[in-house]
Amino acid sequence: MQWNLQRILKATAFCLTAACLLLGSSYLVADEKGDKKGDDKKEAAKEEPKKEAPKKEEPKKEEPKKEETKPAPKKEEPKKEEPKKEEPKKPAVTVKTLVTNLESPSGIAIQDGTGHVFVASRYGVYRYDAKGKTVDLEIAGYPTDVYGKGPKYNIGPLGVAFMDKDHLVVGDGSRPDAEELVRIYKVGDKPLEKWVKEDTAVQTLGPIKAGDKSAKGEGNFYGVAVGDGAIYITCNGDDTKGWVAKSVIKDGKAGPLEPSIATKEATNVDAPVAITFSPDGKELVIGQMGEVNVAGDCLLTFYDPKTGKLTKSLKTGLNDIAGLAYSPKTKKLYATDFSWVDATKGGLFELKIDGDKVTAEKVISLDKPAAIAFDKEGNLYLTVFGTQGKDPEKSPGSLAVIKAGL
Amino acid sequence: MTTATSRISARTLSAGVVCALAISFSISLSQAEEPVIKVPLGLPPIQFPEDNPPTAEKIALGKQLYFDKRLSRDNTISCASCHAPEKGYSNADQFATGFKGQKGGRNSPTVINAAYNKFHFWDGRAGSLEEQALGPIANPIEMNLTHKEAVERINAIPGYKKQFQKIFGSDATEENIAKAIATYERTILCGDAPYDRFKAGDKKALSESAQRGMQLFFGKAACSSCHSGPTFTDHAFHNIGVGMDAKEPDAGRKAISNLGGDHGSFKTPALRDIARSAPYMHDGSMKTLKEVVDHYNKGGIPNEFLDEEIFKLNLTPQEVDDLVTFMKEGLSSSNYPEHKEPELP
Ligand code: HEC
Ligand code: HEC
Repeated sequence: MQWNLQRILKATAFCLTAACLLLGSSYLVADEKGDKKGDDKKEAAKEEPKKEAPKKEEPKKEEPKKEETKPAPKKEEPKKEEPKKEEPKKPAVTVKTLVTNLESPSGIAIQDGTGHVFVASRYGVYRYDAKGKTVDLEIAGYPTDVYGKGPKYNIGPLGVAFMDKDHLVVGDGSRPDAEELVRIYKVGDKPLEKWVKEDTAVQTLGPIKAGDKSAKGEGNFYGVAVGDGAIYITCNGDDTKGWVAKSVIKDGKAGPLEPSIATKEATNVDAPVAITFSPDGKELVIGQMGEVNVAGDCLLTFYDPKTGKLTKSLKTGLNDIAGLAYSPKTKKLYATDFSWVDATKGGLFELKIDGDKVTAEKVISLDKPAAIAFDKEGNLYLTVFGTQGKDPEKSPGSLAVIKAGL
Repeated sequence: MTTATSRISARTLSAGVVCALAISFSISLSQAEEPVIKVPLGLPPIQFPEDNPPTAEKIALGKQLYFDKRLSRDNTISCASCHAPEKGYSNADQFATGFKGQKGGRNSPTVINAAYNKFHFWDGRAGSLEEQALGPIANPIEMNLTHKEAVERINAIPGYKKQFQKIFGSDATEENIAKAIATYERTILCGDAPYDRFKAGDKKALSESAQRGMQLFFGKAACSSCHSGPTFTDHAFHNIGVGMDAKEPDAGRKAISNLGGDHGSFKTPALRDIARSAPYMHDGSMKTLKEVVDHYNKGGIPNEFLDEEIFKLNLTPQEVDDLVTFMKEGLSSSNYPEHKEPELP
């Protein structure tokens, strides 16, 4: 097992190096320094989105030529070290970078019918068309909030999911707690001529203000999942509760956003973040991230969406689960580990559940991966925060894909 | 969590003095049969390291060592000097006073319920009690006795030598001294407080004021953002703004983790029987629980690294009192383990 993993790691390093080279070639004009201090936040919020706003983060799609996946280096078979015969030979997993120069890309949703990939990042929501290999800004003009105290991330909209084929739910992270919103946009099946402003939503849910249920109000709506007739949103405001908020959908309209599941009270661990439904739609699956500055405290939890009751809480040993998704083909469960304390430990993992035990098996190392989503064919799209390079004008984040097979 | 725990222990063990312990013995079944340690109401079972199961004899030996001043160079200081049972297993001083009256820069934390701590010390630099136990003996400003000398001294005392032979099948060594002390420390447990009885259904266990304080603790005052779980800690590190107005603030966890955001962060201390272990905070800067609550009420001392969960609480004077009452009355165990110095060999 050990050597096997190591080889995968090596292969990854190779691919990532390739990705980095590509990254290096991308170019972008930015008219503003990345780091905003808390004090400037308000001003930023007031700012009208300038025409050139999207330019700040003109994502660069990768040249198809360079896109070629590099085959993993040939494995030598150190027979002697082979631990067990049953160890299946793992096909090398290759991560293909599709779009670079994104800042804090935290959410992915795939549109039914078109297969377009919607990505939320600091400046807005982008639409990526895998067939035409185009990337277009769809929604922009969000303010910016800062997450973390070092490293710090400038964040905008966070979680995204489709309510139906043409309604995209966007959980925001760009405002202070207690002012944060969830917005639902009507999106078509073609890129827009020009992006729309963030306040052009057809429905706006929230904010969840400070009150009895939430000492300081809710914010950082990191994860969005739609299922069982409702929208579920992970919140990171009041840490005594760790709310998952819920909005019941009726006649195609989302109802009020209410704190619904107090995950911290149920699990004693902070921060519900990643959220998805089990393939049969009966279980709400949540990654409880725990403390970002503590390693190995992440839980994989299961709730009954009907009652909001915790049915299972499993220790994963992972550091910070940021994304969860079931493969539509194999029904296997995958998670990304952002691994705040030690980025070298981060990556994509398969979570194998056996009774009350879950084993996290690394598929591939990634530099601060966040959201994941499978398309119908089983291709896995993922966002990666990456590490800020020397050029402050260039954002390190990217959208990538792993071809069907997981 | 097995993966994580083993990862942590593997790391800490290799860094510590007890590398040799890494090979684990198979767990003896007797451990399950004889409950040598009774866990009070409100606390979960204790996880003993596989290679250091508790026995009554080992606990007794560890207790002797814990109280034995001969483990310090000038025979004046024992673990109990700084972690005194009658002082909430702390020492009632702002800073610990060690060898020849020297003072360190940090307050003695309590060892109450340290059995459950994932990290030890204010900055979490030790991962296990075994790993931690030998540190103070050799620390020049604490007990100032080298490990070699400590081992020699112990083995020169026939009463100790005999016990070590019986329990570990060998003379005293660094490892088994650490194991014995750590095992004893795992018996210093506080639970079965009015809070636990209230939760278990006895609605009279808490006064009205303490009940209001409890509501605040888990609600408006947001204390349970960090002080959560059976021992009231999230086993994590936060900057709550203590000492951040000092000339050179203690970097805290940052010095260990090297994570920028950890600057001025300290381990969330457990809170059971907290009324006994004043003064409070890593720098011992707060003398009473009321001072502590006042600190939180004003939103801590502002600084770049202040935790998001620290904010102005707008508590009324009555609410401040209620919170203090909850901690004093609600979290004080009915059966406080005020251990006395045992007879030493
Ligand atoms: C001179 C005073 C002094 C003596 C003697 C002393 N300690 Fe401590 N102890 C401290 C201080 C101060 C700290 C906190 C240091 C820090 O966090 O940097 C501490 C921390 C600890 C902790 C960590 C608690 C936690 O979970 O965070 C344990 C356990 C402990 N000591 C046990 C012992 C034992 C066992 C002995 C005897 C072998 C001992 N101490 C002797 C002062 C002392
Ligand atoms: C953001 C996390 C956080 C929150 C919220 C929080 N605490 Fe703390 N608490 C800590 C940390 C960390 C320390 C140690 C800080 C230091 O020494 O610098 C501490 C220390 C304490 C201490 C001193 C313990 C000792 O042994 O010295 C008490 C008492 C306490 N907190 C009570 C409370 C109460 C009451 C509240 C709610 C009003 C609260 N805490 C809210 C993290 C938190």
